[in-house]
Amino acid sequence: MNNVRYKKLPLIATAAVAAALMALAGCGSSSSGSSSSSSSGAFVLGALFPETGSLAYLGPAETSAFKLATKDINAAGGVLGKPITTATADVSDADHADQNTSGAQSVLSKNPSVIMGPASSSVVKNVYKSISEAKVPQISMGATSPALSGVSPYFFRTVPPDSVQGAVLGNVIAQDGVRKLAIAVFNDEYGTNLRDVVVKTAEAAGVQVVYGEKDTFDPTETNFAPLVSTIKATNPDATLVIAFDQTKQLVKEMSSQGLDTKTKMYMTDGNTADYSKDFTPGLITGATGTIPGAHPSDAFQAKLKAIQPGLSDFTYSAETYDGSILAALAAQKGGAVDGVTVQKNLAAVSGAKGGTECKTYKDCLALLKEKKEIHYVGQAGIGPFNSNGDPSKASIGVYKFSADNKPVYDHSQEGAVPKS
Amino acid sequence: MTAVRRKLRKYPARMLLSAMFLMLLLAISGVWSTTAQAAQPVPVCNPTGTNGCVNGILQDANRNPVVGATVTLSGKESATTTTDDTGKWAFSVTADGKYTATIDAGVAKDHGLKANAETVDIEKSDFSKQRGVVRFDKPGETTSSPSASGSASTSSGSSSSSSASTQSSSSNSAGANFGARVWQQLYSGIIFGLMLALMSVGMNLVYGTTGLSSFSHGEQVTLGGLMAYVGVQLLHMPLWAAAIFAIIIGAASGLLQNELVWAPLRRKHVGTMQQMIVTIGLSMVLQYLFQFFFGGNVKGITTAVDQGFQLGPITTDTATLVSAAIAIIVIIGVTFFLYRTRLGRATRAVSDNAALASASGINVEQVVRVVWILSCALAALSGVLMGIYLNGIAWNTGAVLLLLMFSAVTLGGLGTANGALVGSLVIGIVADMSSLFIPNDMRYASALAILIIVLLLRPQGLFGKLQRVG
Repeated sequence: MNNVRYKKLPLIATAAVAAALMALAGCGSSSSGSSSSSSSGAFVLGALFPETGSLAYLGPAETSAFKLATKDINAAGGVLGKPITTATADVSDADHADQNTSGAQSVLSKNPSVIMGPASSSVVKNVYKSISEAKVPQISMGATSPALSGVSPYFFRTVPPDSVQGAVLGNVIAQDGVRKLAIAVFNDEYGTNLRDVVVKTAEAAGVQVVYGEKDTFDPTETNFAPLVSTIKATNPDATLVIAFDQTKQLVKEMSSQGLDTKTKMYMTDGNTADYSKDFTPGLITGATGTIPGAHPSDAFQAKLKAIQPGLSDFTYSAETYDGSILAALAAQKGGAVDGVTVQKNLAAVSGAKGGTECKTYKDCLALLKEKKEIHYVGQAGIGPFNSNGDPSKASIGVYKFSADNKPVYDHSQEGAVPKS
Repeated sequence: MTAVRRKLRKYPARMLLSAMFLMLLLAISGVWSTTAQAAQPVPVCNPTGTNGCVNGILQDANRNPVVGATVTLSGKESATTTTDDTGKWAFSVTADGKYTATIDAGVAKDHGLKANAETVDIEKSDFSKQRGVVRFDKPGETTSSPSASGSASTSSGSSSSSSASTQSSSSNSAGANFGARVWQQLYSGIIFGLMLALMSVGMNLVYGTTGLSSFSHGEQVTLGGLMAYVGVQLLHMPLWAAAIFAIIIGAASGLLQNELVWAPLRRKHVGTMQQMIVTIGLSMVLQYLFQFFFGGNVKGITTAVDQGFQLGPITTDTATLVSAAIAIIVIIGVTFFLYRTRLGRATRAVSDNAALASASGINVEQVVRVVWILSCALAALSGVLMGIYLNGIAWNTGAVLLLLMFSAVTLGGLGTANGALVGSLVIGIVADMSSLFIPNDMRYASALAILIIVLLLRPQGLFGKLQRVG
C-alpha cells in the first residue's frame, strides 16, 4: 500500500508542475490581452526604484518625486484626457541581478508607456535590453555611467554622465590647494569611470594622485583596516571616497586611524547623503561632495515633503519628476500612449526643436493643445535630450557637510554635456 | 581703406559686447558694478552660466599660505587682487579665452615656487574649462631650491635636479612607510584573524560533533551584530548589555534550530550532504529576512568613532584592543571547556567517534544540543565584535565572511578546536599582509592560495588527524 503511494508520488508531482506551468502560461496570455487594451487606454507611468539593497537610501526621494509627478499630471487632466496609472517595482542593486530582471518584467507585464529608472548604471545594464526589446522608453534619473550614452534609442536619462561630475570635482579638489590626493574607490564601473575623470582633471590642474590611480577595493569589502592603513602610509593631503553604502564603514575606519574626514575629504553622488544617524555629529563636517543635477528648489522640496513627511535626502528627485513629466508630455504630443510614440516625441518636448518654454505640466499641456512646439524647463535644469538620450546641458551641485553630517547645498556649476 | 572698414565693422560689435558684459555683471552682482572691467576679483568664485573662474590658493613649498601677495590677471580681461588670510584668490571672468595669472617673480622666488605665471583656458560652457585653477607650483617638486625661478636655463637645470632629489626622498619615505605598514598590516591581520577564529570555533564544533558544514553560520554572525544594533540603537541599551542581549538571542536561536530542524533531521537519518543543502537554504532565508527587517544598508552598532592612538609602530583604538582581548579570553575559555570539563570531554568524545561515545554512556543528543547553543552564542558574540571592529554590520556581512571561515577551519583541520584558531590567524595575517604587495581587492586570493598549498602538502589540515581509511 505504502509502496504504491510512493510510486505514484513522482507522477503526481509531475502533473502538478505541468498544471502550474499551464496556469502560468494562461497568465501570460491574459496579460498580453490586457496590454492591448491598455495601449489604447490610459498612460501607464512605470518605474523601477531601489527599495532594497545598497542604493535603498535613494528610494524615498525618487518615490515621492514620482508620486508628485503623477499627482501633478492627473491634477492637470492626465494624458490625452485620461488620468494616468502607475506600475512600480523594486529593482534592488546590481548584486541582485535576479531582482533587477524580475522587477523589470513585473513592470513590463503591466505594459507601461514609459519606465522611470533604475537609478544605478549597473542595474540599467542588466535591464535595458529587455525594456528596449519591448519598445518601451526608459528614463534613468541617476545612471551616470558614460558607457550608457546612446546605448539604445529607447534609453534616455535626465542626469548628466560622470564625465561632467568628475571634471567639476577634480577642479574643486585642485582649487582647495590639495597637492597629494588619495582615492578610495570601489571596483565598480561607476567608481572607476568617475575616478578616471577626476584623476585626469586633477592631475592637469597640478594635483598628484598618491593612491587609487589604479588601486580599488572590492564592493563587498567588509574589512577596511588594510585599505585605510595603505592610504595613510601615502600621507595624502586629502582623500576622495567613491563608494556607495561602504562609505559608512570606510569613513569610520579613516577617522579611527587618524585621517582627516572633515575638510580634507571629498565624496561623489554615490555617497553624498545624510549621515546624521550614522555618525556622531561633526565627524565629517566640512567634507565636500558633488551631486549631478540641480539642487531641488525649496518650493519643490516642500511639495515632496507634503507627499512624504520627514524626507531629508532629495537626490535624483528633480530628475525623477522631470522624466515623468517629459514622458507624459511626449505621449500627449504624439497623441498615443504606447512606448514607440513616447520615444519618438521625448526629444521634441524636451526642447530639441526649440519651441516655447514652459515650466509646469499644466502650462506645457495647454501649449501642446494649441499645437505648439514646447520646451519643458523642469526642476533639474537639464537641456534638451541629444541624440544619445543624454541631456545636452546640465548642472553639478557642490555640497558641504554640516555639523550634523548632512550635505548642505553650497553652489552649482552649469555647462554643456560633451557628446561622447 | 579695408582696414578702416574692418575697424568700423568691428567697433560696434565690441561696443555691443562690452555693453552685454556690463549688463551681465549688473545682473549677477550689483556690488561690483562700479568698474567697467569685466574680470572681477572676488572672495570666492563659482562658475555659473554667465561667468567663469580663474582662482587658486597661493601656498609656499610647505603648504603655508602666502598672505597679501598681489595676483594680476591678464589676457581677455584683466584685474588685480591680493591673496587673503588662507592664501586664496579668485577672479570672476565673463569672456571665454586665455587668461594669464601672474605673481611677482620675487614672491615666487621667496616661497620656492617654480613659476610666477600660468595661463589657463576658460570656456564657460565646458565643465572642465569653466574653472581654471592656478597654483604656481608643480606637485612632487616641493623641495625648494633657491635658484628655482631664476632664468629659464637655470630653472630647467635645477628643476631636473630638484625632481631627482624629490624622487630619492619619496622613495626613502616609501621605504619608511613600508616598514610602518608591515607592522600595521600584521596587527590588523592578527585582530581580524582573532575575530575570524571566534566565528570559526563554533562552526568547527558543529562539524566535529555532527559532521555538518553549516553554511548558515555566517547568518548567525550577522544575527549577533544586528541584535547588538537593535540593543544599542533601537532599545538604547549600553553596549555591554546589548552584547549580552545579542548572545542570548544567538544562543536561543541555536537551541531553537537544533530542536526544530537538526534534531528531527538526524532522527530521520538524513545524510549530512542533504543537511548541508538545508543549511544553504536556511542561510538564504535568514539573509533575506534580515534584509526585510533591517533594510539593505550598513547598520552601525555605535555612531561614535573611537579615535585611534599610536602604540609603538601601530595605530589602534580602545574598542579594537578590548574586542581582541575578549576574543582571546573566549577562545581560551572554549579550549578550557573542551579539555578540562566533563561536558567538554564528552564533546570531544562525540567528535572523535559518536557511536563509541554513545555506547559508553554519553548522551550524544544532549552534547549536540549544547554544541549548537555554544556555537551560535559564539557566532553572536563574534558578530558583535566584528560589527564594532568593521564599523558596521549589514544583512550580508556574515555571508561575505563565511568562505573565509570555511577556509580557516579547513586550513586548521576540520573538526579540531585549535585548528580553527591557527587557521583563522593564518588567513587573517596572510590576507592583510599580502596587500603590501598585491592590489588590496585581491588580498583574499592570496589567503586562499595558501589554503590550497597547505592542503596539497597536508591534506588533513594543520591540526587534523590522518583518517584511516577502511
